[in-house]
Amino acid sequence: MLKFSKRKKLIVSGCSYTDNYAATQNLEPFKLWPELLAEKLDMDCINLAKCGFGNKAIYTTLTERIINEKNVGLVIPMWTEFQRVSFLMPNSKGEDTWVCFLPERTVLEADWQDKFFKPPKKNTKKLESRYIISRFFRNNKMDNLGAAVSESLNYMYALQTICKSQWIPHLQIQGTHPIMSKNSKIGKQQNKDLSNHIIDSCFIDRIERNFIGWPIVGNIGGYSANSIMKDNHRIGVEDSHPNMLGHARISEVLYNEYQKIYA
Amino acid sequence: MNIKRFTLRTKLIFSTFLMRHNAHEEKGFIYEFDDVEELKKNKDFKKLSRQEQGQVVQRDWNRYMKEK
Repeated sequence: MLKFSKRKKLIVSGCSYTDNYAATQNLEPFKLWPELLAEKLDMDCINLAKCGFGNKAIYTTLTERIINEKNVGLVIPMWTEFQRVSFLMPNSKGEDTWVCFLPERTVLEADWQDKFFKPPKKNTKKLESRYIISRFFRNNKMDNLGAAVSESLNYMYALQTICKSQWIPHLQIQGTHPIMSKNSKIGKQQNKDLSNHIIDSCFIDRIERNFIGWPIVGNIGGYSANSIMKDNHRIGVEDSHPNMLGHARISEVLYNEYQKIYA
Repeated sequence: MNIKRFTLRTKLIFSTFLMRHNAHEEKGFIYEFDDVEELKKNKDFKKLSRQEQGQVVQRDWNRYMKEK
């Protein structure tokens, strides 16, 4: 039906904050922020998000779609952790599929899983190519924060430029916290480093007010979808993804900003 | 240094003293049932529902991450 609809289209991409993460956890279904926002704006919704997507995948899926789509009413990327890596690879059926992961988390997760494999049984996680690649990235500092910040900000600026050049209304927002969280001492230092990289970036005063929450990190006055949610907006204590109320909250913030900029 | 950078740098310095570290860290289920073969053999673990098993594993992962 969407193909023949005359309504404008809301096109979004993102990670588990935008995709139907609840379904992957067998939780009761609820409406996600893209659907809620599309209803408020009376638009059709095209949600390209996939759980685990990295920023390269978010940028690419969105860009390739918007330049081929007519009647685009609004474009929104909800960005994810900066250090996730994304590869477009053929799956077993030969179809191109995005394979994305965070090298640091992949290595830590495999190490943590050691205890579930009693010798002589080998930890199967450590035999996967994802782990081997992650180790290589980590050992060679290929996932360093500075490079990751630079890459992600480039995607953000590029998307802004493309939308402006095509006269496409757009908003941007950071979904998750940009870096994987650690214990408070290391986390604090990493947040500081992250903020310094953003401040030093050539994009700091080129990203426009369409980026909601810019410059993203709380300690320099920014915010993300993650930081605007309270405890009752989350799936649970152990799982900080947005629940039904969280998605409603995010759609509300985006709708208000849309009204301020475009209405 | 331009004004924007100067302002943000000042905010960052003040935040070091005034702000708490964001308590809402990125947590999500990374639990994959097939990966925990050894744990599945544990008697107490077997008694739990599938959802509770997920939570046990997740809690353990979160604890591990906190120590890292």
